[in-house]
Amino acid sequence: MAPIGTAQISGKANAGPAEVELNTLALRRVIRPTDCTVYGSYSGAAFQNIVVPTLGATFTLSGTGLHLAIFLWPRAASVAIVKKATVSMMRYGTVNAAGFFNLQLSRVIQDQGATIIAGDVITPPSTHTTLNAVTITPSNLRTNQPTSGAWFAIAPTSSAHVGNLRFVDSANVATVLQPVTRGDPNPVAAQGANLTTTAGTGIGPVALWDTAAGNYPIVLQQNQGLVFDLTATGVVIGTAENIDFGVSMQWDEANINNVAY
Amino acid sequence: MAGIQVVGNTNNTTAAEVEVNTNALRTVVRPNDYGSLGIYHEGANNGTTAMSAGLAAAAPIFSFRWGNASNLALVKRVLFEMGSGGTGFTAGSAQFNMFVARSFTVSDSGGSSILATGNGNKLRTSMGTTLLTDLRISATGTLTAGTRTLDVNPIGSISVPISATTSAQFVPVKSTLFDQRVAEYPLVLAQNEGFVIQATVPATGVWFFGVQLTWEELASF
Repeated sequence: MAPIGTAQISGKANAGPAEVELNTLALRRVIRPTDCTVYGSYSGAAFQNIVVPTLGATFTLSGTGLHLAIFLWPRAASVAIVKKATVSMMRYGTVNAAGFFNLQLSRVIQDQGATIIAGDVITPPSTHTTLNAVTITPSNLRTNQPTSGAWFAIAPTSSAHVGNLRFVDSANVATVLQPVTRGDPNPVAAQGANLTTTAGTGIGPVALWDTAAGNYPIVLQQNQGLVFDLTATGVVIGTAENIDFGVSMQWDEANINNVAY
Repeated sequence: MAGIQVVGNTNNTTAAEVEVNTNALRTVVRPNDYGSLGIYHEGANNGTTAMSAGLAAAAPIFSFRWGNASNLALVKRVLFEMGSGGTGFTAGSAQFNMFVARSFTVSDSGGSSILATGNGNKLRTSMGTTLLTDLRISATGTLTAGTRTLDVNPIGSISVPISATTSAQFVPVKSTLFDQRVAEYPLVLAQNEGFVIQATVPATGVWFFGVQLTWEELASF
């Protein structure tokens, strides 16, 4: 059917118009990053020596679980658009037990009513004393972008508290722990490996999440987040041992009214 | 029902095609318009003499400084690799971190300058010569920091176990420190900004490393 006419596509400031390739008949276009309007794009990474506690044959998040890093999005009327998450883990020093270890990424939702602010204390389970998580300060991918609104933290190094993180309402730290309600029954992503008792073996570095162009990223609304966990099966750790853990993330922050997510 | 065809600029009688089965408009993705500037890629290594043993923790081993006042540098990709030389390490771990450097008013020194001149490292000869201020890599030891403020946390990080094995590849070739692909925001550097790669390695061993990077120089972004 014959067209009813032709049109050229012109720009706002530049009249252009856009070109169509002579042989492939393809319209030329350039792809730009997400328009984050008042916010920006960020990257954060950290490395930590973490003490793995004395645990039983298995440890999972529902039990004595081991959170290694947490990314929270506390800002209202906006979203964090998670593009990449990369992790690595290595056992070093005296390695006590072989087994299947697993690094996983899970989406979590903060309990309603709890408000996390940057710098909140993190109280581990049980009777361990309150310890501050090590905040990971994001880098702006462009200096004129505002400071990130994300709260990103890695477990601190301490033989006293065993490397676990939980995030709680700062107003209730001394009394009731409000653990995060897990939003997804299964992790978003996981990477495991069968590790021997040889020091220096580990997992990764591996991208647990990596959004290619055209694929849907992880979109976090207010009071949602991601948790990086270490689980294991068939492992009996007689005494505490040490791991090196590294985490790296890249994300965009955008006003919820101005981004099509 | 007939529609309107999209025709081109110079090819203003050539209409873009719509695929028969998917009804998708054919488009082609082009790189950013670099104007009179350019797009560059460089691969470098510390040379044929190994990095000496005993490097201090968090030593700078690679430095990229953009001092141009009028334009922007967009860092798209930084890849890294590392292996041991003829003398093995004390077993442990190594970390290689890429930090954004702001208020970078004086370039790092030492090592080897790998700043391109003329047509060097252009992805097309007709592009402009790079306006990058300084690009250098360690030869056998640490670089000497200039005047800069590093971000608190790295923008990219590689952590690997290190054994005592000699001539071993510990960081695989083309491991990613920073890799922004289509539709992802690059590291946009204005005047006196840049990035630095720092290394922390165990004692005793000598080692080699390589870096590959891609960056664009644009008037605006």
